[in-house]
Amino acid sequence: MPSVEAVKLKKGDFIEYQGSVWAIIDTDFYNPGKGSALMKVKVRNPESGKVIDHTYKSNEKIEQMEVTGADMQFLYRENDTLFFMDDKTYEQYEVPTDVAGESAKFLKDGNSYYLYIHDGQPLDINMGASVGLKVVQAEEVVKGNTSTNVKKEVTLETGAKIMVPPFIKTGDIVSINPESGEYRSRVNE
Amino acid sequence: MGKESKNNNGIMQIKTTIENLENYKKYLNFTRSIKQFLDSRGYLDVEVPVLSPALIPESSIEVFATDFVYKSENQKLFLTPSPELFIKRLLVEGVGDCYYLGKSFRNYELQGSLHSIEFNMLEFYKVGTDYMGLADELLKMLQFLDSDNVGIIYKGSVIKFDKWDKITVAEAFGKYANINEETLFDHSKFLEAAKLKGYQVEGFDYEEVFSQMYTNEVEKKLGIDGYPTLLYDYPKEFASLAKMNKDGKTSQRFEFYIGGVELGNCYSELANVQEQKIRFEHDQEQRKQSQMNQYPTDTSFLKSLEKGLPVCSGIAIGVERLAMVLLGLDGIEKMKLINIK
Repeated sequence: MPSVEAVKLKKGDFIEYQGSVWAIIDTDFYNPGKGSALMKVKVRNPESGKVIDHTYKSNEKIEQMEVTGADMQFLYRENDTLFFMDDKTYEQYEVPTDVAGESAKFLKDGNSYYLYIHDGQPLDINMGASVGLKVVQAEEVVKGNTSTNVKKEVTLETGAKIMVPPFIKTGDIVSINPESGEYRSRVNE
Repeated sequence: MGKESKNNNGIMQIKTTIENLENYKKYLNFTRSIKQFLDSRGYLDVEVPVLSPALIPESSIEVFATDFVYKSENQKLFLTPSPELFIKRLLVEGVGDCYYLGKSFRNYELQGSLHSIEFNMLEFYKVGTDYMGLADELLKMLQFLDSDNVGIIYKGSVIKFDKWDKITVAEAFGKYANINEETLFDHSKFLEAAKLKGYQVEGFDYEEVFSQMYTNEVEKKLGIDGYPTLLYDYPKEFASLAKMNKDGKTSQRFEFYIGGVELGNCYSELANVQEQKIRFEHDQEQRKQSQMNQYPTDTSFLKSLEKGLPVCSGIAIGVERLAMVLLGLDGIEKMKLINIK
């Protein structure tokens, strides 16, 4: 395993911590004015979805995991397993839904996503900062109840339900933050 | 989203963040209130330079260096990481209670929600008092800033300013990191205990491992339980410019916290010139070993100390951070109209 100084860690890197693999989701360099500079990292365990904070000495050597990746087509889901196919090699991969966490419900059959691979096993799915999905069911808003802070529930083409502003109609395409599940904007072409 | 500047390369980019205009106006009111409080209590507002040919050696702070050029002469100048070296000169001359609210600079800080390479520093000094006397004064300032006296909500906790939650560094390590006092002050025992907890200790010294354990296990527990926390009596290794306590192990230094965020650092100011010289030499040596920017030690500062620094205490506060917490914002960049990140 290659090791790297903690100060060089960045979002998207994978590290070994207490015997498991963690994805770095945020870093903060920190010079407390007492002792040496420190590197705070927020990490997510792709298997369990658990998120923790840990602080390293900035010049401490950290074991960095060698991770490759590939674009893969999402084929379908069966119970707690997601099935993907490598766009280039046509090799199929089975991924536990926990790896995708809450964002699994925004995966759309036939779409391509970037998967991180470690030791031949899918480690994490990068869905990007936003995904666009079609609204398949939206209730009409009761007249007079159109103030901007009122939200309503709609169903997306993947079956996921999210809260959106009242002006969203069936057939609209909406942009969503896959990590938080929050509505971002309407993106009709 | 901010507008990106187009003609910049490198790590730092200029961003116009006009969406922060409302926060910026609140921030302006906030700094006016600080000045109003200090002015009304007789503190003199002192403007001092930010470029200096010499500095106080501090082993943990990296500085910015630039060149002064005149005809064929040229001299290194440094952006001050704190106004302390100037203010103490003025205290020696009898200026009395005073404050500085203006820019300070720290190199080697990545820009983050709590950090910036340039920031507004408030330093205020009170004559005739020690660190605990200054803590009383600071609490009055926080009460003044919380003008409607209902406290604040930060990261989901309600914090009121009726009193401090006071805890010593040794008590805090006992309570939150399960390190007893004997272990905390004994370097080899402490490093051994840290190793058992899973910290890397080979090749690192006491100060480095102490800071790491402190950040991982202690800091986030401070100032989350109804009141701001005053953490005091730091081990002598972290005394910096603070007076020692009679126990010989700890120094009269405190930091204060809200929601796990460090907001200020206070000393009973060290007036002993010999002791100050020894600490300067130690810190300058550490800077050399860490291959940090070398700068001349401010020896005329030491000379002026020989005239006699009055008994006094001073505190340094990151103004944007304090504003962030008291105004309920989630990053210091949220109150700036121009961000360089």
